Amino acid sequence: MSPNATAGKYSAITEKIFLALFVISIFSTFIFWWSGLSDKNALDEETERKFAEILNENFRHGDIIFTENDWDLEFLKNLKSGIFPVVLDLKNATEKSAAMMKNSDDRVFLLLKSANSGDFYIKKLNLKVIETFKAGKGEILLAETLFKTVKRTLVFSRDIGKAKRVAFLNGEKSEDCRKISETKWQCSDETWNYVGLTTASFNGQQKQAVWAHPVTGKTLEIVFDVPENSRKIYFNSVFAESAYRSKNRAPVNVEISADQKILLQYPSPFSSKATEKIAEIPENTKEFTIKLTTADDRQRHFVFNGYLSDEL
Amino acid sequence: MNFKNRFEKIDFLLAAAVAVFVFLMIFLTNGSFGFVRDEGFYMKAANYMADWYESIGTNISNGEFAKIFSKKEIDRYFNYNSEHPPFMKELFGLSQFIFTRKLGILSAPMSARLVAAVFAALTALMIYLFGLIFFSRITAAAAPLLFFMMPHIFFHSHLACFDMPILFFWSATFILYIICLKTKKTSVHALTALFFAFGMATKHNVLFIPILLFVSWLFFYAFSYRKEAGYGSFTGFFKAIPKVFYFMVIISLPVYFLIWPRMWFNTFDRLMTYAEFHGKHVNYLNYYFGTPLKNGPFPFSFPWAMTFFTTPTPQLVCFFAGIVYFCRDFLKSEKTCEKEAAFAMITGSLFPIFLIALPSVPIFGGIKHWFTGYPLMLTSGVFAIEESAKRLIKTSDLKKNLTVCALFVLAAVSLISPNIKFAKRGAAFYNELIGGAQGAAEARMQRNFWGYDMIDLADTLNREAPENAKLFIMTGYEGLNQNSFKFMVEAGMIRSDIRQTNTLNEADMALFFYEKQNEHILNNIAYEFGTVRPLAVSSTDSVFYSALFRREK
Repeated sequence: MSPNATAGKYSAITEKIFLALFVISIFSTFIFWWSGLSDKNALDEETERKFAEILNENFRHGDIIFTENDWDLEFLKNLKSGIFPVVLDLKNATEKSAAMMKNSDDRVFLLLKSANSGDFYIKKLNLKVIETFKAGKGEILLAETLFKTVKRTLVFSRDIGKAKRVAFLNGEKSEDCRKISETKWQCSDETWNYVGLTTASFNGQQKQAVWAHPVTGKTLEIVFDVPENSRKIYFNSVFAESAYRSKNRAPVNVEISADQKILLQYPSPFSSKATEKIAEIPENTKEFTIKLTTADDRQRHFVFNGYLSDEL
Repeated sequence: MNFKNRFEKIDFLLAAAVAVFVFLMIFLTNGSFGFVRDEGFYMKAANYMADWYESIGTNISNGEFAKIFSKKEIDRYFNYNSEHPPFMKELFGLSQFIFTRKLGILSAPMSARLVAAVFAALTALMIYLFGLIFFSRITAAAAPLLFFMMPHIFFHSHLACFDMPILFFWSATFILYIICLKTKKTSVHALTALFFAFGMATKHNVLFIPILLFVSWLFFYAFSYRKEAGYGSFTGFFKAIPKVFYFMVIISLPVYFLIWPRMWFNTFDRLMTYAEFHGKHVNYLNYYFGTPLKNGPFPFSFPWAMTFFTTPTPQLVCFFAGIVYFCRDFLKSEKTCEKEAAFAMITGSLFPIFLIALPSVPIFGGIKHWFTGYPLMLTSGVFAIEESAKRLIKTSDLKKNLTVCALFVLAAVSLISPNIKFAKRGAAFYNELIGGAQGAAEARMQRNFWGYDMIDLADTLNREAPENAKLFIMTGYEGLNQNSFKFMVEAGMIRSDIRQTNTLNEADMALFFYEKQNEHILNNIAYEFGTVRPLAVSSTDSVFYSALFRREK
């Protein structure tokens, strides 16, 4: 049938609009994909190289790196070993989350695509700039967060290596975990069976945390000496991503005690939502203990973080 | 929707050229993609199927015919991955049986992907025929080309999965149905039911088709068909029902059960289990404009916006033009069957998107779950553009045709660059309306899907990994499926001594597949390995998708 068969079914104006759109789409495809526009926001090589150089020279253990351009990570290829963590969420970071991500007085590096956004992030994150580095077309701010209402006397993720004891209690029997580094206690030959530093998402914010996978029929016990002037405990717990998709819905039971007196006791529910708890620590407390149990340990990828503070 | 062209001699040539070209383009680029999560399961199921074919031969030579179809034997080979019907897995297995086990010319994974390439060719052929019969020869030739120049389509056409085959059966069933409306030929009605049966045996998506078409037919019956002679009475109603619906009972169902031997036993229970699995399907977390879609209700806009931003703009314009074309056909046609045909085309095009848009329906992942109707609206859209261009050009028919052909060739040329850029990761394509890969990453859209994107890392892995190295593959975090890893080794993509692990602590090397929800894994790797410096990064337009790390402590 001739093309005219559909004449009249398609109003002239509509068909002209679609034809025009089709022609425009061809040109927009040419322009966007062939001219380099699709790659226009990438960091140039010089900036990437400078980012790495500056970090290699100035990074100290415990510092944290935030990148504004969080999808172009070529600069990582030039970093020395030991320079991490790199947080890919500067845009969503808040004053509190940036401060809570780092441990106590550690510093933050902001890797910015240009100097223009520096003031915005300084204000948003409430930062005190220690030093500014020019890096090609970009800029690096070395800063400390001013969000410090309390002194953190002990940070679980930072100080897990300082635990007095980490062990699984099986009735009367105690199976001690072996400290293999300042950030990790290995509890058996099973590679998942350790207590140590990791990162996890707490209600959408990436934070450093302690991995502590419980075992059915045993109690995982983590004991710390309480530093002087510690008056409050902030304790947050959550399941890592792969766990809360599991069919196993058993909670992890958390019990925190100070010198045998229970401060917190709750089942950390099978959920992607973090549980956040606060409790006061009695004066002159010598030691506090975190006990974790579960009725079914399949995929109980349990993590916690938090700290002790001197606030009253 | 009128018949416009007959199949002529030249069409044999053109249709064959289109189908062969698509087949070769897909099959010869099979090594460009790692194996997605689903492929791992289906390739394993294909092993069972190939074993079954072997066992049939053994049982026949032993004279044990009854054993072939015994419950024990059927369950042994068909229980794995029983949440999906077996047609495609049977074909994957048959291909493996012939090309791997008997002829030894393809690895088992690639024998499964051979079937995928055949279905891509069949889809190209279907689009050609649809374009030719209902539109024009130019549309018939241009539409398959534009269809396979959508990076998502090109990507999925390679995979030994059910998504392109179900796209084929979905669209083919709708096309055949509108032919049924125009012809009383019993053979066409029977053929439609047969296609529907194979569709059912491929994936459950097509189970909506008879409901949609029958409800639509009832509507047209109530308003029009019943007024025709002999159709108004009680018995007339049953006479009026198109034969295809009867055939869907007397042909489709038996064929469906014939293809799925597992359903011969404990039929009711097994059907219920099948229905329950899909009725209570888990949601896959997707990032959508910075929001992690974990639990319903999900935004109605999700599949619409994803279609809008993941379709190259020339094809997107065709989609809109195609839907408007069908709508105009529906409104302006005088004959009821033509109205119904146009309505069927609108339904076939948009219902898959609408279904996923419902806030209570889980988001199963990428666009593959609703692209089943794309061929319909794309083809009519191509024709709408062709018509518009021809009417605007005041010259001879030859020049009109040449101009229109030049326009489509220009469109195809413009699409070469994005297709090359995303040749290894079509599932990650976003169009210029959102700013391409960079714009989508800035907008916090799901960056990629299905944990396959490691081909760019494979060379470095094979070169740098120590002997018998353990590789962390992120299985628990939407990374590489354990089966997929195994088949990548079997296909020669990964060195055979490298072993997989899902435990970072014991790994020598680690793959990191970026998704927003998994970005903390980057630092977990750094803590464990002592470095955040990757050995290799896979990226397009500077946006990284995955990376390879080596333990340094």
